Order: sequence, then structure tokens, then C-alpha cells
Amino acid sequence: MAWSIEQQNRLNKEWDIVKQYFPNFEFKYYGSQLCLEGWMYTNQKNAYHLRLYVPQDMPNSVPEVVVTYPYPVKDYSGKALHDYTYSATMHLLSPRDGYPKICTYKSTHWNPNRTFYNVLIKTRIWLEALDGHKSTGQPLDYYLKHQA
Amino acid sequence: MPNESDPKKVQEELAKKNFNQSEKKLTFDPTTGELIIKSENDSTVKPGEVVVDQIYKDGFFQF
Repeated sequence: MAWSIEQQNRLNKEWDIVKQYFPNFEFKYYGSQLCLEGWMYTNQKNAYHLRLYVPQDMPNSVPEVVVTYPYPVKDYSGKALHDYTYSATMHLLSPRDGYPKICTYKSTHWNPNRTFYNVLIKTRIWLEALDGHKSTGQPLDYYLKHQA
Repeated sequence: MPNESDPKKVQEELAKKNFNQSEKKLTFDPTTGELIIKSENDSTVKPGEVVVDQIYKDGFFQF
């Protein structure tokens, strides 16, 4: 993937922000696909490994985020999240590369001023809601507000 | 009121925020990776700590 000069500058700025708030994240290529990967730990100290796919038209579209560890990620009843395919109540989109994909921003609510930081903070909050779901059985939309 | 990072309390506060019943703010501490619930008038801030209420209020994708 060849990035334009503007995109390279933007990636540098994104990296400056990400390393400040999520210092264990790092860029990694899968073929031509650039990703940002790292671990997040919830307040219950549960570890999750995340992958953010950097869109080729970055920063003009929403970066997709999947949970790659644990695999499979299971819900309260033991069902794998990737088996939902998609779910409004669980804030899940269709899986990518076999991993459950998290609902973050709707494309119509995205603008180029939003950053990977915004997406990763949403991801962090989503994980806390997932822990809540695993404790109580409440769906994720009990904890997380739907985008209007 | 002390800051609250107890998982159950944080999760309960997320639910309250969802139902517009929370008067607390949500912060993220990058040194621990924890989400923290604080009183709105609590001005104590750890290095790097950031208020993330607006990102929560932006909402999550709905079909």
C-alpha cells in the first residue's frame, strides 16, 4: 500500500497520539493491509488483543476494529461473538477475518477530524461493557448508547 | 467521594449514562488502562488522564 505524503503525515500524527494513550500498540502489516495492534486490559484485568485496520482512504472512513484474543470471545451464555454475525443489541458488525468486529462509529457520523484515539477509546469502553455483559447477562446496549 | 475504578461500579455507571441518569464523569487513565468514575466537580487529574464522556455520548453504531 502506497500512502500519499498527506497520509504519511497523518499516520505520524495518529501514532504520536496513540503511543501516548495506548503505549503497547504498534503498527503491523498483513500483506498490504496496515493494522494497529495491541492489548487492552479492562478494570477486571481481563486481557483483550485488538486489531484496528487502517483504511486505504484514511482518514476518510471509519477504521474497523476486531478482537483477536481471546479466541473465540464468548458471551454470557458461552456463544462465540463471531457467531452473532451482526447484532444491534451486542454492538457487533459482521466479522472480519473470522474475528468479531466492534461497532464504533457509523460511517455517516465519521469525519476526518476523528482519530484512531477516538476509535480506541470507544473500543476500551465497549470492552468494559462486554465484561459487564459477561457478569450480568445484560446485552451491551444496556451499557452503551446507540448512535442517533 | 473517592474516585471509583471498581469494575462493577464503572459498569453500573455506564448503564446510568445510557439512561441519562448519571451525574458523574468518565475518565481514562493511560498509565493503568482503567476507566474511572469521578464526581463532576472533582478536578484532580493524574498525568495523562483524560475525560472520555464525550466519546461515550457520541454513541455506538446502530443498524
